[in-house]
Amino acid sequence: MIASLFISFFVIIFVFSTVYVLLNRRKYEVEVGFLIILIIYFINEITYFISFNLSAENFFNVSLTLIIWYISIITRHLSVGMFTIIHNFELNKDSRVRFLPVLIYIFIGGISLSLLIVPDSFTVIQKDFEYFYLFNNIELLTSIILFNFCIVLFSWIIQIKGYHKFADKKLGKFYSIFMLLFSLNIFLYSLYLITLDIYFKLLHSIVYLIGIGYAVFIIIKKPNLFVVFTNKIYDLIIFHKSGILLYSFNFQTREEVDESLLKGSILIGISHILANLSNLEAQVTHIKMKDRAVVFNFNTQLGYAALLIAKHSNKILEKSIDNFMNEFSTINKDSLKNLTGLIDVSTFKNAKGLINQYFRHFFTEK
Amino acid sequence: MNYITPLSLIIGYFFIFSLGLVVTIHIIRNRKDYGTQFMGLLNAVTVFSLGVIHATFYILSVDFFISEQINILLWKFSILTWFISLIITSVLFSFFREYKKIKSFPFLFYTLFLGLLIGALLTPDSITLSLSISLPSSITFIDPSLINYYFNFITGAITILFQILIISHYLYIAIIINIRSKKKEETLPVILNAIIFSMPITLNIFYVLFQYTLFKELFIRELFIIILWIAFFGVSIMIVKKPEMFFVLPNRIYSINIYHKSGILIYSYNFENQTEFKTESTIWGNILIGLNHILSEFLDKKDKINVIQTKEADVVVKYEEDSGYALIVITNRKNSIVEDLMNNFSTEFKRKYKNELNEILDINRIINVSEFSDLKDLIEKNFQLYL
Repeated sequence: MIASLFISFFVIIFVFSTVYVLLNRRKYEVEVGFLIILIIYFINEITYFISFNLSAENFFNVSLTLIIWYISIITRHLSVGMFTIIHNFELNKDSRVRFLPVLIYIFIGGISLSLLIVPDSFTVIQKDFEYFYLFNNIELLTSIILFNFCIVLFSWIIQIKGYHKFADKKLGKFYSIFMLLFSLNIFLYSLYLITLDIYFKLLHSIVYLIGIGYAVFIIIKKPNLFVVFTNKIYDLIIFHKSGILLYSFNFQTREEVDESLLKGSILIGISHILANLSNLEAQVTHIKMKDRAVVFNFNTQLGYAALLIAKHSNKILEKSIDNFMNEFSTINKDSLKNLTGLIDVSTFKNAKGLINQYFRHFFTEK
Repeated sequence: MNYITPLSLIIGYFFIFSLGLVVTIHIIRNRKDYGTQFMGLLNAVTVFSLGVIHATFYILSVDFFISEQINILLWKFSILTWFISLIITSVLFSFFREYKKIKSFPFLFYTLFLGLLIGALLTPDSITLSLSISLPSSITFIDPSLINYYFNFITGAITILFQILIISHYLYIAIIINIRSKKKEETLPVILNAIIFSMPITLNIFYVLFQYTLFKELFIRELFIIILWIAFFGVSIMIVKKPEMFFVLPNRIYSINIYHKSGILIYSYNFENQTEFKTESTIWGNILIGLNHILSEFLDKKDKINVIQTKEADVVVKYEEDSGYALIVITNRKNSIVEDLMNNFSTEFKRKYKNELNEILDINRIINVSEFSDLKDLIEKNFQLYL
């Protein structure tokens, strides 16, 4: 009865969020590889919650519930592990040991998986209308608790250390609250496994549903969460081959930069680059600095180039700048071709609309 | 009882143990010769784990009978150290392909397999011992053919799958390096290494696979350790004699250019026959100055360009602001080896041309680039491994 209630709530939340995301899919911009990982993650999450609740129901026979219980443990490891890996990896991007937490989770997960295969790891106990699973294999219980402990410990260390890396501070706060719910959920799950107390089980399911509901709230409230997690754009600069700065936009102030405010060094720089533009075009892909990445994009037909200064360069950013350049070339084709004599750069103010269109996710909250 | 086999194994063990220790100490003492300290450390760990730890656990578990539990425990440790050694060797192989750029996918699998193995070994009956003589009452020196270890299905499956993955990975890396390399003869040691290392691994797979069949009578286990120790001997000699092969193979330097802060090219050195990357040396100084001018307007002025990544190469930059020049190395991949060499070269360059560099610190002075024409020797000395 309680299981069906929890599962119904879960299905309602899941169906609502799926329908919402599908209807508003244009707001969400995710790399295909990452989308596949997200789908696998959600499949594991759904399987876990349903199997965890069903495994306690006594309308199944013991051997079947035991199989369901095994499924719940495996999918729990996968879903918790996947979420934490994504979270840790993104916040720990610049670390030399960014792979270390991932390897530790996989290593302990492997031990648990191996111990799970040992026959008679559990004794099934029936209390009232529910099944409970007593661990006979103490190594298995220890490995599961250790896995959960490492997940919580490393995630918090990375969350606290990497908090300043959140490009959108409001998103960072949302994540911290979610991490609290996530940790509480893991804590209650571990307590349930150790004590087999029904109250811990109920509390775990309730906190789990609250966590899922909160995650849906973040997804609705912050559609840019998959793009800007830690990434940031600082400036976009467009210049013509004649050395004239056509347009410049600062993403932090969200304002166009008046060309009269820019120093002569830019013009010196442009002339240096333009002298070698034909050599560069086919070759330069990225420019790396200590704390920044610069995406360089050229259009030799119309004779202009764009420099995008960001925290990290990624495929979403490269795709956005490509789309921006294509659109910019289309709407300013005539102006760019006839750029002689007295040049009126105000013609290119239409770039702001394109920035709003192609880089809207990067307008983050401080 | 036949004492020839156990005695031969003991002699072989002492030889490999001593070799392992000597080579480990040699690598640690000469770690700089291996490109980076990390590379030296990895080599030392590989040699130590294979030649000292694995060999010790192996010999203790097959040449001596202590008690059933202790022998099984020692055998389990020998399997574990074998797994770890193979993983470390795999990291080394990955560095052949691209230094410090490990493809994460195989290593995630290796870690998973290592976890699975430990989990399996923790379960009772994962390994069972079979003794062909009556149980000795005290510690006994024993003929290895009389002592056998059987893997249960899960442990056996994990061991076999892991080793198949390792062999495939070694061979894949060797083939990829060979395909991509323009100098095929240079890749021969890697291919040879991959084949040599695959042989004992294959034998170990056979040992686990045919443990319940008559094939075990063919002394596959003993053959495995003999082949492994021969391979270990060969590789140890190579590690000591040719340390540079660990970082020359994956790396190419196309050219080295030195620019004055005004953008003037002071010196350019193109590495012989390196025609893969043909951009004119003169343009990089201009481009660099141009980009830094633009970026300084938008960013913190201290943050300068470190690398310009192109489709074919990385243009690595080292600024020497006090001496007023920038050193640019065009390589197929930026890594710590190249950076270390750049640092060493730059220090020597500054020392050798201190007066000349001081003179041209003033941007209005005429730069006589012929003063630097004898830089060739200094470059060849510092970058000799890439010549």
